Amino acid sequence: MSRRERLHALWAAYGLLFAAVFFLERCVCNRFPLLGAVPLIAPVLCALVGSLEGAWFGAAFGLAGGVLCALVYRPVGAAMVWAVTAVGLASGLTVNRALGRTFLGCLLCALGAVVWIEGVQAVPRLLFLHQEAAAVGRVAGAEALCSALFAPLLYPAARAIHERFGLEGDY
Amino acid sequence: MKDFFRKNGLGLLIAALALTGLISIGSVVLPVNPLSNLLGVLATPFRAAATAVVSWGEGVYRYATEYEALRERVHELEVELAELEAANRAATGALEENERLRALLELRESRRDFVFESATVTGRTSTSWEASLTISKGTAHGVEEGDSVITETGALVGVIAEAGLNWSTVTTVTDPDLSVGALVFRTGDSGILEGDLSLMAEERCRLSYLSAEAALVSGDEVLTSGTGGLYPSGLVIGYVEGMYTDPSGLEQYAVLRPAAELSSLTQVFVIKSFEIVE
Repeated sequence: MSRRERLHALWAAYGLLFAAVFFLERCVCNRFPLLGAVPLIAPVLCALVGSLEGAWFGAAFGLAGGVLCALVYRPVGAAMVWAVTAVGLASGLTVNRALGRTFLGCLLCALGAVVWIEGVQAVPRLLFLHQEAAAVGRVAGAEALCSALFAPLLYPAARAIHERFGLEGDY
Repeated sequence: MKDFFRKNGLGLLIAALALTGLISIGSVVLPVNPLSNLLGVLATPFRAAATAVVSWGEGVYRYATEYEALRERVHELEVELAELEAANRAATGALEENERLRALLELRESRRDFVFESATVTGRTSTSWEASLTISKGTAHGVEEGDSVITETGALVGVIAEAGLNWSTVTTVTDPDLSVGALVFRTGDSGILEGDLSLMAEERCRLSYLSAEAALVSGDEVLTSGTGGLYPSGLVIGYVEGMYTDPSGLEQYAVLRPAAELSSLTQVFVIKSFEIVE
């Protein structure tokens, strides 16, 4: 398989995984809240992809995922495009330069992504919508916790795709 | 990948900025963001399929676990129905007298005309920050942003927040973004129904801006006031569970239990237009 074909196969595989995760999040998990919160699984997957495939691929994947997230996560909206892009980019950089492409390194990046996304959602609600800080903190905390639970569940699938189609080197 | 970004990075950045701008401007200027509308139309069959499967599973689970409770509830409702039928017979006489008096005083006949569009619930809240439903009807069926949504018993579910081509998003009464004028049926006290982030997880909402003299009790029925003409009056919002004082100590508010069972709704009715003559 040429490098170009590997890249196309990589995009297709991660795209299918993203579609499955998005469907799970939007159609199933929202009916069965954990800890009173609905998990945000798409940013977790973008963090894992960035960790495994590198900063550039992670940024591109985060950009695509961020556009979809922006359309469904109101009222943060367009800010999600950049927030999720940053997740992919930062996860790749962090893994390459500090944590290493290990299970723990990827999980820590996913946890950081979850905290970052909750911050992006919580800060506008505190500053512009003037919602109660205790309530915002409770919702953000519960959502972060139940989202983070999906990181170890998604890791095997993402790792399998990386082992099969992943690009070598720092991407 | 790095080489790809070196060659095409600027183009990708421009594309990303254009997409962000389209999403932002579309959300502000248009009733529905075009990309959201397209995503909603494409997702409709998947949402409907998932809802059908999950609803079937929920139905089986509920049949297995709630059968006895449902039998008891049916018995209670039969008793309540008999009482209401008796009250209705007594009220019929009063209604006829009211019509005679209106004719005598040459007053217009009071009426409440609604145009409904029935819809099924195809999706539920997808984030923890809002309480919304997705329904199966949209602009193609005459549904518009701001239309009220009720159950078959006339209980207020919420308001249409976004209307796509064949889907709509309903902001429910427990969502922090919703505000509706309300009236307590027993006492006539008015207030503003607001969703509250801290009450949303318990499927409760808040009746704020009550007067200092308001003396509500648990079980008091709260209706829409119809103030401003945006929403019909007389729709049942919910029932008072308790009265509390704001942390500032200056204001009273009531916590309401919505009349509509939001977590188990499968069918709703959109009020596309209404005319009320009192």
